Amino acid sequence: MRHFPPLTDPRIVRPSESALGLGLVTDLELLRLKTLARWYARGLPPDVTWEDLIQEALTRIIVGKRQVPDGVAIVAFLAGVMRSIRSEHWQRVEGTGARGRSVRSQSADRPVELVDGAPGPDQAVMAQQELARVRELFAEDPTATAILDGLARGLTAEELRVALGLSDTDYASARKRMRRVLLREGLTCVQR
Amino acid sequence: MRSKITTPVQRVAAFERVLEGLAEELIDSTDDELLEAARDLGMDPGMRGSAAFIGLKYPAIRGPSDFFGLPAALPVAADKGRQLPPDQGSQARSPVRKKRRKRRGQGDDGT
Repeated sequence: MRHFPPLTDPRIVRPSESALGLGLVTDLELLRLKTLARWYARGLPPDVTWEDLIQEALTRIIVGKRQVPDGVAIVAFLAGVMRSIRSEHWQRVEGTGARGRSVRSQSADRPVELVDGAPGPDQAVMAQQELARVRELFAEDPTATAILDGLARGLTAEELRVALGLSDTDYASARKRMRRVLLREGLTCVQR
Repeated sequence: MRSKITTPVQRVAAFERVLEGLAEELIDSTDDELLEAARDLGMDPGMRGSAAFIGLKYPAIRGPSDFFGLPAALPVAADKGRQLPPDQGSQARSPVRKKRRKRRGQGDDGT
């Protein structure tokens, strides 16, 4: 991943500023992308920040590496780009680890390929810790916590609603409460 | 309802499902909800220089850990530091010397 310099120098134009200037995104879309970038940066090592995710995603669009298909909302598309940057990071980390293992285990005539795509211990630990942090966000809302658990188990929205015994209205208001918490968390200036 | 998730693959998969499920909520959120959340934080995105755009239009706020090797920024290094053997740790610590105060009117030779 391209690591941007700290950019404490205000004279340096950031990709987000370029995207605004080019009219690729509006102010509100940029803010929503910030909430998504902060969200997708969860469970990544501290040296990969939300700014890296959003600036890299915007750079890929500005330089033409990724093109927004017609009829696709820019926020949804950039969310997908950030998701792929996130998985590229783990693939690179796991690939490096697997290469290290294969060097140790290969014999002279037949190298052993150990790349299996399974998450490594680092990713598993970070995922567990981050899941606990996400649960803390909704600790005061038992319905939201139950929805989180259902999501973790892979239930769909309708399955969740039925499993929790919620009406459509109650489920919608629980989701609205969750969105508010997520947006607040995404807009905060606190560095994680 | 909470099920036990044990293996690393299950942990990562569970987390990724939660991440994706809630990212959808962020994508689907309305502008009004976004502005309401900003107001909750005391931010006005319409204002010039709004804190909401820190890290986007303006440089991020840097903490001391960005410039100094504090344990918060380098947890691994901090852990390694704690693993020093006791004797090595005591040797590594330099003795504290008290700085002698000069009295007013005294020269370097103490006169």
